[in-house]
Amino acid sequence: MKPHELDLLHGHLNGTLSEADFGGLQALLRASAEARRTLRALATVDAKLQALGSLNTMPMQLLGMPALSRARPLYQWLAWSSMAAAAACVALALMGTLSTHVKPSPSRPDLAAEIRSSQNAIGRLSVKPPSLFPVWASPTAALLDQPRIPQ
Amino acid sequence: MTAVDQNETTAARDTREDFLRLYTRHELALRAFVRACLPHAADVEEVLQEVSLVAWKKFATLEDSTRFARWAFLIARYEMLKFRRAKARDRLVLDEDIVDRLAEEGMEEAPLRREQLEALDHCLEKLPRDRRNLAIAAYAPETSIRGLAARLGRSEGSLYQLLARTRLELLRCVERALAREGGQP
Repeated sequence: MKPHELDLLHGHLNGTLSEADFGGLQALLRASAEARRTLRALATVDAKLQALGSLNTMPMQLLGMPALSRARPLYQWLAWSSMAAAAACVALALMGTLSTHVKPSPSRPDLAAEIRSSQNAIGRLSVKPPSLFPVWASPTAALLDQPRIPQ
Repeated sequence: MTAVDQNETTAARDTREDFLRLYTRHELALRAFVRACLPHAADVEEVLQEVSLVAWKKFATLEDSTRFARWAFLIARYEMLKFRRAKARDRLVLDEDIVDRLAEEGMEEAPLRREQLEALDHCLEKLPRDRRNLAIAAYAPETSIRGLAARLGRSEGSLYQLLARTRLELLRCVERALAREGGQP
Protein backbone atom coordinates (compact mmCIF):
# COMPACT_ATOMS: atom_id res chain seq x y z
CA MET A 1 0.00 0.00 0.00
CA LYS A 2 1.12 3.56 -0.66
CA PRO A 3 2.04 5.75 2.32
CA HIS A 4 -0.83 8.20 1.79
CA GLU A 5 -3.28 5.28 1.64
CA LEU A 6 -1.93 3.99 4.94
CA ASP A 7 -2.28 7.51 6.34
CA LEU A 8 -5.96 7.44 5.40
CA LEU A 9 -6.45 4.17 7.29
CA HIS A 10 -4.65 5.50 10.37
CA GLY A 11 -6.56 8.78 10.13
CA HIS A 12 -9.83 6.83 10.07
CA LEU A 13 -8.85 4.80 13.15
CA ASN A 14 -7.68 7.97 14.91
CA GLY A 15 -10.91 9.77 14.02
CA THR A 16 -8.96 12.69 12.56
CA LEU A 17 -10.02 12.61 8.89
CA SER A 18 -11.53 15.66 7.28
CA GLU A 19 -14.68 15.23 5.23
CA ALA A 20 -12.62 15.35 2.01
CA ASP A 21 -10.16 12.74 3.28
CA PHE A 22 -13.06 10.58 4.44
CA GLY A 23 -14.36 10.60 0.87
CA GLY A 24 -10.91 9.45 -0.27
CA LEU A 25 -10.94 6.67 2.31
CA GLN A 26 -14.35 5.41 1.14
CA ALA A 27 -13.16 5.39 -2.47
CA LEU A 28 -10.02 3.49 -1.45
CA LEU A 29 -11.98 0.91 0.57
CA ARG A 30 -14.42 0.36 -2.31
CA ALA A 31 -11.64 -0.15 -4.83
CA SER A 32 -9.00 -2.07 -2.93
CA ALA A 33 -9.38 -5.44 -1.22
CA GLU A 34 -5.87 -4.98 0.15
CA ALA A 35 -6.88 -1.72 1.81
CA ARG A 36 -9.89 -3.43 3.41
CA ARG A 37 -7.70 -6.31 4.59
CA THR A 38 -5.12 -3.91 6.02
CA LEU A 39 -7.84 -1.88 7.75
CA ARG A 40 -9.23 -5.03 9.38
CA ALA A 41 -5.73 -6.05 10.50
CA LEU A 42 -4.92 -2.60 11.89
CA ALA A 43 -8.32 -2.52 13.58
CA THR A 44 -7.48 -5.88 15.18
CA VAL A 45 -4.31 -4.35 16.68
CA ASP A 46 -6.36 -1.37 17.76
CA ALA A 47 -9.09 -3.52 19.28
CA LYS A 48 -6.49 -5.30 21.37
CA LEU A 49 -5.02 -2.00 22.58
CA GLN A 50 -8.51 -0.72 23.29
CA ALA A 51 -9.34 -3.84 25.30
CA LEU A 52 -6.13 -3.44 27.32
CA GLY A 53 -6.77 0.27 27.73
CA SER A 54 -10.30 -0.30 29.01
CA LEU A 55 -8.85 -2.36 31.87
CA ASN A 56 -6.62 0.53 32.85
CA THR A 57 -8.33 3.13 34.99
CA MET A 58 -5.14 5.02 35.90
CA PRO A 59 -3.42 5.77 32.58
CA MET A 60 -1.20 8.51 34.02
CA GLN A 61 0.30 6.19 36.61
CA LEU A 62 1.13 3.86 33.74
CA LEU A 63 3.25 6.68 32.34
CA GLY A 64 4.78 7.45 35.73
CA MET A 65 2.74 10.63 36.20
CA PRO A 66 0.28 11.70 38.92
CA ALA A 67 -3.33 10.75 38.27
CA LEU A 68 -5.43 13.15 36.23
CA SER A 69 -8.34 12.74 38.61
CA ARG A 70 -6.33 14.27 41.45
CA ALA A 71 -5.59 17.38 39.50
CA ARG A 72 -8.06 20.12 40.39
CA PRO A 73 -9.72 22.00 37.60
CA LEU A 74 -8.10 25.33 36.84
CA TYR A 75 -11.19 27.34 37.81
CA GLN A 76 -11.15 25.72 41.24
CA TRP A 77 -7.54 26.75 41.81
CA LEU A 78 -8.30 30.23 40.57
CA ALA A 79 -11.30 30.54 42.90
CA TRP A 80 -9.30 29.40 45.92
CA SER A 81 -6.25 31.52 45.12
CA SER A 82 -8.33 34.65 44.57
CA MET A 83 -10.18 34.04 47.86
CA ALA A 84 -6.86 33.60 49.65
CA ALA A 85 -5.45 36.74 48.07
CA ALA A 86 -8.55 38.73 49.03
CA ALA A 87 -8.34 37.46 52.61
CA ALA A 88 -4.67 38.41 52.81
CA CYS A 89 -5.44 41.92 51.52
CA VAL A 90 -8.20 42.40 54.11
CA ALA A 91 -5.87 41.20 56.89
CA LEU A 92 -3.08 43.54 55.78
CA ALA A 93 -5.45 46.49 55.54
CA LEU A 94 -6.78 45.78 59.05
CA MET A 95 -3.27 45.48 60.46
CA GLY A 96 -2.30 48.78 58.87
CA THR A 97 -5.40 50.52 60.22
CA LEU A 98 -4.93 49.12 63.72
CA SER A 99 -1.23 49.98 63.85
CA THR A 100 -1.93 53.62 63.01
CA HIS A 101 -5.02 54.11 65.18
CA VAL A 102 -4.77 51.75 68.11
CA LYS A 103 -2.23 52.56 70.77
CA PRO A 104 -1.21 49.99 73.41
CA SER A 105 -3.56 50.17 76.33
CA PRO A 106 -1.99 51.75 79.36
CA SER A 107 -4.20 49.57 81.56
CA ARG A 108 -2.26 46.45 80.43
CA PRO A 109 1.40 47.12 81.35
CA ASP A 110 1.98 43.42 82.01
CA LEU A 111 1.05 42.43 78.42
CA ALA A 112 4.67 41.86 77.29
CA ALA A 113 5.36 39.72 80.33
CA GLU A 114 2.21 37.69 79.67
CA ILE A 115 3.25 37.06 76.04
CA ARG A 116 6.72 35.97 77.14
CA SER A 117 5.19 33.59 79.68
CA SER A 118 2.87 32.09 77.03
CA GLN A 119 5.80 31.62 74.66
CA ASN A 120 7.73 29.79 77.36
CA ALA A 121 4.74 27.56 78.09
CA ILE A 122 4.37 26.71 74.40
CA GLY A 123 8.10 26.05 74.16
CA ARG A 124 7.83 23.45 76.92
CA LEU A 125 5.23 21.49 75.01
CA SER A 126 6.55 18.48 73.13
CA VAL A 127 4.64 18.40 69.87
CA LYS A 128 4.77 15.02 68.20
CA PRO A 129 3.19 14.18 64.87
CA PRO A 130 -0.10 12.30 65.11
CA SER A 131 0.51 8.60 64.63
CA LEU A 132 -2.14 8.31 61.88
CA PHE A 133 -0.57 11.05 59.81
CA PRO A 134 0.94 9.33 56.77
CA VAL A 135 4.62 10.12 56.42
CA TRP A 136 4.41 10.11 52.62
CA ALA A 137 1.84 12.88 52.70
CA SER A 138 4.31 15.40 54.11
CA PRO A 139 6.86 17.22 51.98
CA THR A 140 8.93 17.60 55.15
CA ALA A 141 8.78 13.97 56.22
CA ALA A 142 12.30 14.12 57.65
CA LEU A 143 11.20 16.73 60.17
CA LEU A 144 8.32 14.69 61.52
CA ASP A 145 10.45 12.86 64.06
CA GLN A 146 11.59 16.17 65.53
CA PRO A 147 9.49 18.31 67.90
CA ARG A 148 7.96 21.15 65.90
CA ILE A 149 8.83 23.74 68.57
CA PRO A 150 12.26 23.59 70.18
CA GLN A 151 12.27 23.23 73.94
CA MET B 1 -37.56 -26.36 44.79
CA THR B 2 -38.88 -29.23 42.68
CA ALA B 3 -36.66 -31.46 40.56
CA VAL B 4 -38.08 -29.79 37.44
CA ASP B 5 -37.23 -26.31 38.77
CA GLN B 6 -33.75 -27.47 39.67
CA ASN B 7 -33.20 -28.90 36.19
CA GLU B 8 -34.36 -25.65 34.63
CA THR B 9 -32.03 -23.62 36.86
CA THR B 10 -29.09 -25.84 35.98
CA ALA B 11 -29.95 -25.63 32.28
CA ALA B 12 -30.20 -21.83 32.48
CA ARG B 13 -26.83 -21.65 34.22
CA ASP B 14 -25.26 -23.92 31.60
CA THR B 15 -26.74 -21.79 28.82
CA ARG B 16 -25.35 -18.65 30.42
CA GLU B 17 -21.93 -20.23 30.81
CA ASP B 18 -21.96 -21.50 27.22
CA PHE B 19 -22.84 -18.05 25.98
CA LEU B 20 -20.17 -16.34 28.06
CA ARG B 21 -17.54 -18.81 26.97
CA LEU B 22 -18.35 -18.36 23.28
CA TYR B 23 -18.81 -14.61 23.44
CA THR B 24 -15.58 -14.08 25.36
CA ARG B 25 -13.73 -16.21 22.84
CA HIS B 26 -14.89 -14.14 19.90
CA GLU B 27 -15.26 -10.74 21.53
CA LEU B 28 -11.96 -9.29 20.29
CA ALA B 29 -12.65 -10.37 16.72
CA LEU B 30 -16.09 -8.72 16.93
CA ARG B 31 -14.50 -5.62 18.43
CA ALA B 32 -11.98 -5.55 15.58
CA PHE B 33 -14.77 -5.63 12.99
CA VAL B 34 -16.73 -2.83 14.68
CA ARG B 35 -13.50 -0.87 15.21
CA ALA B 36 -12.70 -1.08 11.51
CA CYS B 37 -16.01 0.65 10.81
CA LEU B 38 -16.05 3.21 13.63
CA PRO B 39 -13.27 5.58 14.67
CA HIS B 40 -14.58 6.59 18.10
CA ALA B 41 -14.14 4.33 21.12
CA ALA B 42 -17.47 5.33 22.68
CA ASP B 43 -19.33 4.37 19.47
CA VAL B 44 -17.52 1.03 19.38
CA GLU B 45 -18.59 0.35 22.97
CA GLU B 46 -22.19 1.33 22.21
CA VAL B 47 -22.44 -1.03 19.23
CA LEU B 48 -20.69 -3.89 21.05
CA GLN B 49 -23.04 -3.54 24.00
CA GLU B 50 -26.01 -3.92 21.66
CA VAL B 51 -24.33 -6.88 19.94
CA SER B 52 -23.84 -8.71 23.23
CA LEU B 53 -27.41 -7.99 24.36
CA VAL B 54 -29.01 -9.12 21.11
CA ALA B 55 -26.75 -12.17 20.94
CA TRP B 56 -27.72 -13.16 24.48
CA LYS B 57 -31.43 -12.68 23.80
CA LYS B 58 -31.27 -14.78 20.63
CA PHE B 59 -28.77 -17.33 21.88
CA ALA B 60 -31.48 -19.97 22.38
CA THR B 61 -32.19 -19.86 18.64
CA LEU B 62 -28.61 -20.82 17.75
CA GLU B 63 -28.74 -24.54 17.09
CA ASP B 64 -25.08 -25.20 16.33
CA SER B 65 -22.60 -23.53 18.66
CA THR B 66 -19.73 -24.11 16.21
CA ARG B 67 -21.45 -21.47 14.06
CA PHE B 68 -21.35 -18.92 16.87
CA ALA B 69 -18.63 -16.70 15.31
CA ARG B 70 -20.47 -16.32 12.00
CA TRP B 71 -23.80 -15.85 13.76
CA ALA B 72 -22.37 -13.18 16.09
CA PHE B 73 -20.75 -11.44 13.12
CA LEU B 74 -24.14 -11.26 11.40
CA ILE B 75 -25.59 -9.63 14.52
CA ALA B 76 -22.62 -7.23 14.66
CA ARG B 77 -23.11 -6.29 11.02
CA TYR B 78 -26.82 -5.68 11.59
CA GLU B 79 -26.15 -3.57 14.70
CA MET B 80 -23.41 -1.68 12.87
CA LEU B 81 -25.81 -0.80 10.06
CA LYS B 82 -28.49 0.17 12.58
CA PHE B 83 -26.02 2.48 14.29
CA ARG B 84 -24.98 3.87 10.92
CA ARG B 85 -28.55 4.73 9.98
CA ALA B 86 -29.09 6.47 13.32
CA LYS B 87 -25.83 8.44 13.37
CA ALA B 88 -24.77 8.93 9.76
CA ARG B 89 -26.26 12.43 9.67
CA ASP B 90 -24.06 13.91 12.37
CA ARG B 91 -20.76 12.11 11.88
CA LEU B 92 -18.56 10.44 9.29
CA VAL B 93 -19.62 6.81 9.08
CA LEU B 94 -18.66 4.39 6.33
CA ASP B 95 -21.29 3.74 3.68
CA GLU B 96 -23.45 0.65 3.95
CA ASP B 97 -21.83 -1.19 1.03
CA ILE B 98 -18.37 -0.77 2.59
CA VAL B 99 -19.56 -1.98 5.99
CA ASP B 100 -21.07 -4.99 4.21
CA ARG B 101 -17.81 -5.81 2.44
CA LEU B 102 -15.75 -5.40 5.62
CA ALA B 103 -18.15 -7.70 7.46
CA GLU B 104 -18.41 -10.31 4.72
CA GLU B 105 -14.65 -10.58 4.24
CA GLY B 106 -14.10 -10.30 8.00
CA MET B 107 -16.25 -13.39 8.60
CA GLU B 108 -14.09 -15.35 6.15
CA GLU B 109 -11.00 -14.21 8.04
CA ALA B 110 -12.20 -15.36 11.47
CA PRO B 111 -9.47 -18.06 11.85
CA LEU B 112 -6.80 -15.59 10.70
CA ARG B 113 -8.10 -13.04 13.23
CA ARG B 114 -7.65 -15.52 16.07
CA GLU B 115 -4.07 -16.20 14.94
CA GLN B 116 -3.37 -12.48 14.66
CA LEU B 117 -4.67 -11.89 18.17
CA GLU B 118 -2.53 -14.69 19.59
CA ALA B 119 0.59 -13.39 17.84
CA LEU B 120 -0.25 -9.90 19.04
CA ASP B 121 0.25 -10.91 22.67
CA HIS B 122 3.89 -11.77 21.93
CA CYS B 123 4.40 -8.68 19.80
CA LEU B 124 3.10 -6.44 22.57
CA GLU B 125 5.64 -7.99 24.93
CA LYS B 126 8.41 -7.19 22.48
CA LEU B 127 7.39 -3.55 22.16
CA PRO B 128 9.51 -1.15 24.28
CA ARG B 129 7.78 -0.68 27.60
CA ASP B 130 7.26 3.08 27.34
CA ARG B 131 5.70 2.74 23.87
CA ARG B 132 3.41 -0.05 25.05
CA ASN B 133 2.32 1.88 28.12
CA LEU B 134 1.67 4.99 26.07
CA ALA B 135 -0.44 3.07 23.56
CA ILE B 136 -2.48 1.46 26.33
CA ALA B 137 -2.84 4.76 28.19
CA ALA B 138 -4.15 6.41 25.03
CA TYR B 139 -7.04 3.93 24.98
CA ALA B 140 -7.92 4.14 28.67
CA PRO B 141 -11.50 5.19 29.44
CA GLU B 142 -12.08 8.93 29.60
CA THR B 143 -8.64 9.65 28.19
CA SER B 144 -8.45 12.06 25.29
CA ILE B 145 -5.46 12.40 23.02
CA ARG B 146 -5.63 16.16 23.56
CA GLY B 147 -5.45 15.77 27.34
CA LEU B 148 -2.74 13.15 27.14
CA ALA B 149 -0.67 15.28 24.76
CA ALA B 150 -0.97 18.27 27.11
CA ARG B 151 0.15 16.21 30.09
CA LEU B 152 3.10 14.81 28.17
CA GLY B 153 4.06 18.19 26.72
CA ARG B 154 3.68 16.92 23.15
CA SER B 155 1.50 17.99 20.26
CA GLU B 156 -1.65 16.03 19.45
CA GLY B 157 -0.31 15.39 15.95
CA SER B 158 2.91 13.84 17.21
CA LEU B 159 0.95 11.58 19.55
CA TYR B 160 -1.35 10.42 16.74
CA GLN B 161 1.72 9.73 14.61
CA LEU B 162 3.30 7.73 17.40
CA LEU B 163 0.11 5.70 17.79
CA ALA B 164 -0.02 5.04 14.06
CA ARG B 165 3.63 3.94 14.07
CA THR B 166 3.02 1.65 17.04
CA ARG B 167 -0.03 0.13 15.35
CA LEU B 168 1.90 -0.49 12.15
CA GLU B 169 4.93 -1.94 13.97
CA LEU B 170 2.68 -4.34 15.83
CA LEU B 171 0.98 -5.36 12.60
CA ARG B 172 4.33 -6.00 10.88
CA CYS B 173 5.44 -8.05 13.89
CA VAL B 174 2.22 -10.10 13.70
CA GLU B 175 2.69 -10.67 9.98
CA ARG B 176 6.28 -11.83 10.50
CA ALA B 177 5.22 -14.19 13.29
CA LEU B 178 2.43 -15.72 11.21
CA ALA B 179 4.74 -16.07 8.19
CA ARG B 180 7.26 -17.94 10.38
CA GLU B 181 4.53 -20.22 11.71
CA GLY B 182 3.27 -20.84 8.20
CA GLY B 183 6.79 -21.84 7.13
CA GLN B 184 7.19 -18.85 4.86
CA PRO B 185 10.63 -17.22 4.69
